[in-house]
Amino acid sequence: MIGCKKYHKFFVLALYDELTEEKNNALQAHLQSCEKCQREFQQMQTTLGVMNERQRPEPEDAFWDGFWGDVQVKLQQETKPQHASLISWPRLKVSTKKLLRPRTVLQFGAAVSFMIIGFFLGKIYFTNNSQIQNQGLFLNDSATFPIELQRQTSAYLEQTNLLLLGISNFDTKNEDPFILDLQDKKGYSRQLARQAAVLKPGLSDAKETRLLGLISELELILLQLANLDEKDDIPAIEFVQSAIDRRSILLKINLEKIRNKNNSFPSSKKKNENIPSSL
Amino acid sequence: MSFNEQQAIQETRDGDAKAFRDLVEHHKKNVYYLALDLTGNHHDAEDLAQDVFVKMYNSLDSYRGDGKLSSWLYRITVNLCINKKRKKALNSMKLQEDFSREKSNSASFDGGRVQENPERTTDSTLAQAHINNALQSLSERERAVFVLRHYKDLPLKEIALSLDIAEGTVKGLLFRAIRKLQVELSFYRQDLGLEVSK
Repeated sequence: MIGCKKYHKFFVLALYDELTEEKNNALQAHLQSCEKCQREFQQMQTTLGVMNERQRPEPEDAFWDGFWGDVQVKLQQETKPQHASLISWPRLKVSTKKLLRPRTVLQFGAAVSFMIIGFFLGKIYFTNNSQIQNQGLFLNDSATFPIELQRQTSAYLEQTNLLLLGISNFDTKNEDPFILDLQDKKGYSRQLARQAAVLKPGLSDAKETRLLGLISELELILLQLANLDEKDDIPAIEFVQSAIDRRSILLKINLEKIRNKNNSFPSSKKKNENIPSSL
Repeated sequence: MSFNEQQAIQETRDGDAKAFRDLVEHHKKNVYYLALDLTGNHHDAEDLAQDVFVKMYNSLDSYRGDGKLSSWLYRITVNLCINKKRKKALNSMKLQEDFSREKSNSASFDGGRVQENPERTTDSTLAQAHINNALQSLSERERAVFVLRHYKDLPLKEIALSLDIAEGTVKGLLFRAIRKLQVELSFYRQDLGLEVSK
């Protein structure tokens, strides 16, 4: 029995071919001579054979397609402070202890002083050239509406507009629903609906009530679209189409786009992708 | 097309979102399926897999690069899973979520041993449930070690490194896991006409 215990220690390694040749030979020799150990070893092998038959359910393609979007949403939710901009990129990891060091406080004070001096100097030299200032970091109302949020909202409206336009223009009487690829549209809608949930707090903070209302309406329609039953594809598409018409959604998006254009919204395509969200 | 992982890691550290996306796309399936093995259901696996990448992003600076990134991700997955379960005290592991029920109808055993007829499909569904039940009956650590060795094909040494435990502990956990599975699957094995011992 003492000898058997020694060989039991080899079982796991032998089952996964990790035993050295020498030890494996010793184990095989023991198994030949010990019926009990041989039976135990075979039973373990059989158990692993049964576990090999395990099958895992394959998620739908929409799950994989939306995976990155979901990670982005989660990342934004977990990394952004409540009233900061939507994106906290690049990461700033500064501990409170470091911030409260006398040296840090002095450095901060000096930096603020320089900024105040710079501000007054700038005001003296550029009073007659205020237009140049507006082309800098912020647009007209950007003190309350951060430029990054403007860009994301603009890109979001463009994407949603394209999706809903496709649904709206689909002829349910003459066209085959297969062409529409409802499954794909559902996944995309789900992703956009999640992004809407991320945009809304920022718009609320920026007091952009009209945009906030529009995004909320879009979120509702997108959720309807995401939860459609594909078995009843035609009635389902018509249902979404009527929701789009009833709320004049496309008109509202276009009005918003015109307004944004007049305010010189930066195009999302022109910006780099140096953020974890490409909303 | 080869994926340069080290470059993607460095670029992610430098703030390149595209590089981070590439890393997520490259590892998402591996992480998700490990999460599915550990949690036993799609909903928790989805949540866990997303959390793994958030954690990866937030602690990429601490990744030294001396081991495979996949091993590091496995470690995060296992640790997060154990922590989540501790915190939430998940009392039940649902084996077949809604979508898995839909999918399981088309499931067949390897080697074509199970044919596509209703009786056999029911049998295979039951067998799958039985196997999944057995897996979920293991402790968190036993399951993690078993899944990494059996389904992810990681050598014991690498599992020990990934989970930061001794190799002997890994061996012990794996031995116990197989023994437990053996007992749990006795019904199924009887069904197959195999010898059963407890």
